[in-house]
Amino acid sequence: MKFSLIIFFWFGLLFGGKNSPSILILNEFDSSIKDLQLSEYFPNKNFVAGDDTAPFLNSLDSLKNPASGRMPLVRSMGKDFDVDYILFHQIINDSSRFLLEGQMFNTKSGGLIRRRIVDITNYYKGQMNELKLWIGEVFKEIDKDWVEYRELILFQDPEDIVQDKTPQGAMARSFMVPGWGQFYSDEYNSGVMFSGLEATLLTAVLVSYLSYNKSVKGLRSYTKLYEESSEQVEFDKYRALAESEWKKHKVYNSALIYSGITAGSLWVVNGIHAYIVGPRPKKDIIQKWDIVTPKPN
Amino acid sequence: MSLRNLTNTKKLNRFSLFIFFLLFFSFGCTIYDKELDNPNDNTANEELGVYPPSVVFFPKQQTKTMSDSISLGAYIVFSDTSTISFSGTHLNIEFDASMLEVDSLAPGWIGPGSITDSNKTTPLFTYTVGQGILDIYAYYLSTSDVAVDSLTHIAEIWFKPLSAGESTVQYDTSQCQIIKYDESIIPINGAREASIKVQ
Repeated sequence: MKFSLIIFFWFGLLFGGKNSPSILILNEFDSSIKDLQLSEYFPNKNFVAGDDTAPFLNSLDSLKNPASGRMPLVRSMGKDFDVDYILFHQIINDSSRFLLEGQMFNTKSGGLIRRRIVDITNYYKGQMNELKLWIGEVFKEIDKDWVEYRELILFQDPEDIVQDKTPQGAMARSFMVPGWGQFYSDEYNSGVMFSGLEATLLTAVLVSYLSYNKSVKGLRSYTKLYEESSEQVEFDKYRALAESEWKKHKVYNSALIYSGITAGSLWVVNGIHAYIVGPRPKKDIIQKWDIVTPKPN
Repeated sequence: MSLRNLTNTKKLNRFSLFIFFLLFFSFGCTIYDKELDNPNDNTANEELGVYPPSVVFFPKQQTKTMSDSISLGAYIVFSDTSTISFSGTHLNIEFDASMLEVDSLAPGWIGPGSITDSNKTTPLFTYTVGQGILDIYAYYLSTSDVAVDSLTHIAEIWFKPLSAGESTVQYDTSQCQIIKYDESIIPINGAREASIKVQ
């Protein structure tokens, strides 16, 4: 009995399933890499080329459930092409970068089993290389040459990079004129906010100072008139006016101090903020891999 | 540290200094003392511990040249809420006879129906000048009770400077008197002197 089970198990292994999964490839990108022969790089995979990418073009994220939203379509295509998986790739080109989205579907369940979006700086034959890296990641068959090839676009000696714009430059500018460092760093909203707030506070400082000065002058003037008055009606009036100006000069002095402290603090915060948001060398020449494994429903 | 970083650090130090000065000047404004001192103002006198009724001079200090005439008012200051029926006074004033000489005197204002208002009253105003002593007698010749203002101008005195220097004119309160219409004495609670500087 035991012997029969072992024989049955080995037969099952040898003849019961496919060793090489079949994959339908659907590519939606420009002609430069249309001649890509994936079987050259993944010889043990059975690739089938498809050409009708239209059903996959609408955004996966617009579906109610991205993982299961294309189940009927995937199952149907799986039967039509007799494949185990469907790999859909879309590349969107920008002037200096491109965005590669890869989606992997299981035709048995129809569900999305892997997804990757990479936003990367263009490099020579970069799209082809990124595609190989994505498929290699899916099937755990990454060639180290592909990884090294991608690293060629990185600066080999980052210390030698001369930066036209620096966080220190942004901070220095913001210390000179609040908001300048943020504008310099293309942070327009915070630039407007800091320059606006600082302008308001400095106006408050100026208005408080001018009002304080006016009150001090008033205090001196009314004190003099009070001291020179011998008539009760007059010195009573000037006393009241002098006391009023004295109170005002205290209030304006407090306003001056508080608005000055606030303006000064905000100025320092603005400088620190400019340093934090200041321009730094691009660290996302290669964006971190973003492979999503959808949760089963 | 690269040259660029060094330059930036120097810039930052300068800006930190600028911020410091900005904050420093924000704190730099002075709160002035309220120095309201008029000898005729009872409120100011009370702040100095001179309580009403008090005898004072106005102005409290003045600087004149040898060719100027020095005018000094002699006043009695009552409380703002005083209801004392004041009728007459004797003021004994001391001055430096080596520096000042009494040139002339004029009666001041003694409340409603004052000495100077001859339409309503028959005033009595007289004075004697001794060696550094001036006695002024002013009476309001009424038999009825009279309400007076809190401030009463008794006399205006004009001095002639004799020599340069600084001198004070003061009351001898032990000799001064303020009386009611029934000749009962109103106690004097304070006095202030005047300073005269002749250049």
